[in-house]
Amino acid sequence: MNDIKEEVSFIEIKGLCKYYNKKNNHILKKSYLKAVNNFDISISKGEIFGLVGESGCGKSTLGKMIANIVQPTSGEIIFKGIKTGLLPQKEKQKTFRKIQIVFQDPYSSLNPKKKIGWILEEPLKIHYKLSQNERQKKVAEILKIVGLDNEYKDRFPGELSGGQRQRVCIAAALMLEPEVIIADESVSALDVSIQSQILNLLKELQCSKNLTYIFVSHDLNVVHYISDRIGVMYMGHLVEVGKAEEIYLSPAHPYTRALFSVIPSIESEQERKPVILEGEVSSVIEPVTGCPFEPRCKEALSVCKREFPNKTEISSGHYVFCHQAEKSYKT
Amino acid sequence: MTKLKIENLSVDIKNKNQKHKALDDINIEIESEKITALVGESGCGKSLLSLSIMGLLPEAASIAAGSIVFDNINLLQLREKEMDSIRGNKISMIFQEPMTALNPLMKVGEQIEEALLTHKKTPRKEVKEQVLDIMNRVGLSRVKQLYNDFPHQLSGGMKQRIVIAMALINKPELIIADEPTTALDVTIQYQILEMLRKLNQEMGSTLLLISHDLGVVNELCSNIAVMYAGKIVEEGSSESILKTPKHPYTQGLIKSVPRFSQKNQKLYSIPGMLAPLNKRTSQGCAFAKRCPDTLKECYIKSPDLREIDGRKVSCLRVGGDNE
Repeated sequence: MNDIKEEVSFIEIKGLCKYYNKKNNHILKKSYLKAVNNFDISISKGEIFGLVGESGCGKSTLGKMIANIVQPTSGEIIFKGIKTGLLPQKEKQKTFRKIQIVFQDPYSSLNPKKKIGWILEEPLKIHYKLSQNERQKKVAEILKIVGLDNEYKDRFPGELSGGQRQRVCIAAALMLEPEVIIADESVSALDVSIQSQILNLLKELQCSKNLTYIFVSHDLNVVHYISDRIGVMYMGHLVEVGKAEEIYLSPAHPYTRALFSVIPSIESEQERKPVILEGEVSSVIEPVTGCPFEPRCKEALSVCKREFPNKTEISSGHYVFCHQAEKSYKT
Repeated sequence: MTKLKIENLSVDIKNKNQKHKALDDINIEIESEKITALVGESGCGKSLLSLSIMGLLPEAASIAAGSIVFDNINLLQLREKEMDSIRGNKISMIFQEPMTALNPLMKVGEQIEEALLTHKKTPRKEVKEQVLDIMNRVGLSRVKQLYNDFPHQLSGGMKQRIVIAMALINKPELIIADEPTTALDVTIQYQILEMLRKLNQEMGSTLLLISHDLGVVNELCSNIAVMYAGKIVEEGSSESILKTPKHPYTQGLIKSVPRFSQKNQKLYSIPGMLAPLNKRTSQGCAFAKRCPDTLKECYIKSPDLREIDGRKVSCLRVGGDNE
């Protein structure tokens, strides 16, 4: 019974919001930057969930909230049935060590003055009471998993290549035996040849350790390749979510369609009609009552300006937030 | 017609009193009014090559041999002042990061203006007109207002457009674009690429695009040169190279891009890594250690760039008797 429940909602996110206070000249008038707004999603164990969107849409903020780096303004993150918001600090730390994050830039996320071994041991020192020997054994074990030789523990980050550093970052995330890894643009800074190594490594780890990934990226080819499901974000809102193939081949939201029509591809055989988005992302600070995409949407109706669209299920597991979801899916 | 011809170019980099060959005997011809791409891993020397053309090499680097001929002028023999009159005027460059390429304390309109006034004496009245015109052409809207904005007030895509406007204002004959869209989102990337394509057609300028994104290269370029460890390893039309790559490095590079049909399959990755400068040897093929298919000779003899089936490849296994 318990097992089934765990499968259904391993991580459940309900109405998650993050507002940042904006500096304002008016003392009485407060304005907020709504980085993430009312975000709902449930992710099952062993799944790779891809998150795409333009820069500034809040995908990194969402990832950081799930990893407990940023505190949400409101909403809940339910991890394995535990409401993490209500936990006391110590318990919270214990829960969130099962969720680790791998950052974008392997050059700036490693301390340049510490040896790799020290960097990898640090999380163990904080979370567990282990002897030096045990820690070193663990470091050797994890280094082997990410495909690095044990002698690397005595090197400095500066002596490693980009791909090796990203392996170290992944190793550091694996030290605490996490169940969830949030990969925040983890392969974006790498060359194609190294990118494929890291993608393979992430996939292998998913199989061998039954890891769950939240894979944040703006490279749509990569996201499609690795993800089981894809969520598309626009201005802090989830606008569409569904199976990777379905989102890639038959996107329903006008924003998703525009996004996926302009992917540069080395397979140019498939004819595509690029949809060019006019204008830029409007300011996240201004209050929006209707659909956030309305100002740039070519198919907008008058209702789009007034009301926020409801969640519509257009096929099994494929949800769209658009007033014209049904219509656009068919065409 | 050839716009730019680089012959036997070698560039040395000095590090701890040791000289390393960062560019090794580069030969490349860039055809006029076409878009040529330069592809390769980071550290292979793509950016160094573009800086050599611009005459902007860092202090540690020096040109050891060769020539860069642009419109029958050898750029390497020019004096600094003569080079100044070409740089930004006839040859201009679009840099990778728009955030760092702009002066944060100067209005963006004035920065574009500066590029114009440095090279062309223009009456005060026309200056602003021309600046606003080029800003319109690179797809910016509300240009009069934007003219007085500072870089931090603009989004990434707008900043990149300003950088491009600066490069284009003097109607250069050759534009070198060093990863112009790497820092941008796909939607904006598409707009910028379309714009570059349009400008190339309208203004008839030649474009050298440096990129590691093969998708972008496929969309935009007609010719491709692939670089590895400071050498050109394969060169030809983009269709022939992307569809039937001959050099094992190009093959590996193309195979490692995730494709739509490859979902749930293991991606190919080239084993090993690009050797750092101080560990490169001149003996044998530079790619031999990572090559899936080597001969004994590959470790001894370094291959020349030879013409085979309308393209150039430098591999002992291709085109010879060993194929």
